[in-house]
Amino acid sequence: MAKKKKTSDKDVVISVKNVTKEFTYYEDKAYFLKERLTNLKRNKKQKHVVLENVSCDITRGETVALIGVNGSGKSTLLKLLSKIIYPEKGEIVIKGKVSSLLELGAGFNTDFTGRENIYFNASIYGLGRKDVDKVIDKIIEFSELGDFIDSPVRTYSSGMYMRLAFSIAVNVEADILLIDEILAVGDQHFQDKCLKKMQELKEKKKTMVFVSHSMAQVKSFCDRAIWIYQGKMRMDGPTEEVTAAYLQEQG
Amino acid sequence: MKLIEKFKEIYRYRHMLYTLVKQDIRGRYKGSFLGFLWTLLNPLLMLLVYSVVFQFVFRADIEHYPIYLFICLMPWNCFQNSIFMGTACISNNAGILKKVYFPREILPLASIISNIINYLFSAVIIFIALLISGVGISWTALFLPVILLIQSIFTFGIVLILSAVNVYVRDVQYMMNPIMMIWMYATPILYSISMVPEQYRDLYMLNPMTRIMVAYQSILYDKTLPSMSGLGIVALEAVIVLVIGYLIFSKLQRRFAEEV
Repeated sequence: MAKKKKTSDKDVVISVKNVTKEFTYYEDKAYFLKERLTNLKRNKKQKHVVLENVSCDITRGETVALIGVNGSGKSTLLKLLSKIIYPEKGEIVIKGKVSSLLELGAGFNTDFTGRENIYFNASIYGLGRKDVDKVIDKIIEFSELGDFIDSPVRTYSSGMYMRLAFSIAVNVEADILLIDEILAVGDQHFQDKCLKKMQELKEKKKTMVFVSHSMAQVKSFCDRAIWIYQGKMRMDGPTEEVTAAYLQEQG
Repeated sequence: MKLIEKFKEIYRYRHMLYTLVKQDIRGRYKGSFLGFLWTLLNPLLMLLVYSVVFQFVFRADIEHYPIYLFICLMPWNCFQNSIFMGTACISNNAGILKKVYFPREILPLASIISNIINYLFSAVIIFIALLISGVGISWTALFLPVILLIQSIFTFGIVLILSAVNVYVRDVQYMMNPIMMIWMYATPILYSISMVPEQYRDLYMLNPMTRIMVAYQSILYDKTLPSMSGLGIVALEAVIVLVIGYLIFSKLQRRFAEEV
């Protein structure tokens, strides 16, 4: 894989080395001891390799898009980078504070209000009450939730949920931002606002890895794209080249 | 060293720990009229019931029996609730486990800390009861934090094992009910260690909770110094359990997000 530019090791903030991830599927998963014992023979396991021998280095300030068809392993790679799951083989080294937005939501406690969830969620990113007090107005304003911020999160629509999650994730002062294809949930207005915010963070030299199916978004925002195909890295390089090759194959 | 890294990491996530503990303590009596007062009312009412029962209905051989019982029952409740809450803490938090990274040890740690805080509130009632009943308080009560610390280390070790295994085999959560009941009767809480026949004493001492309970009784009820060798042994046992628990937890936690 050709790297875009030669950089010293110091600048590498995400280093993925020969990573392989397998998921084990059970035909009928046994949660209980009795099921485990009685199903001993029937408990069929199937191994499915989601990512195979993936390597890449991402340097500080880079904005990288992960592209590929559904089920190619993009989201799995993002989960590996955020240390939620671990690889079977290989090694991942991350330097700096990571903030991640995976699938929908960020692990909100749905019985609590939006405001309470901001405090809880920010505390996971290492922010204390006083730190949150400083940015909470910014978060609420960005989310455009208005008075809904004091309603329980379970009453939120998926768009509101995503807006809150995004607003927290971009305001916790992380060095690395990992974003799954959640932007698709928002309306055009909010998507544009998010991209603008991400552009701002890019100028602040934050590193971003971003899964998207919108080639227009990818082209306008990312310096580099990684195309994942059936769990393997198909191409890694400047956005223009990779997206062109990808679109050509998609036909 | 890896262990020091872990400590540093947990320290970095202290705000999360703090929020979790606060949520638990506040949420415990959420929606009730008396709210937080229940934390004090519960042990108080319990003590009243015991006093009536053991004063008028059932006469025990031990002097000031309700107080005697209370001194050990409160820390035992703390231990038992930590184990119940702790065992389920990973599987109950599947939502955040799958979405965000944080050191997974935070969850069991939070369930233990919130139960310790609850115990400390009930300890206020213990001290009031000691004064009123005429048993009195001696300076040996200053050993209480030491014993509580040893108990907490031991509890944390066990909870690390149980919470991790419970993700893979949910039976653990339900097995703990009968196990904790048996364990309580196998520990000198309702009776004194001196009532146990001599030939079984060694067997009794294999249970770390025995030494812990005996220590509580000596500093609060007998008002004597706790056996230092006894505390030393149980402290060592607690640390060993914690190390084993940590190793098991570290190994099993890698697949938590996939298994819960």
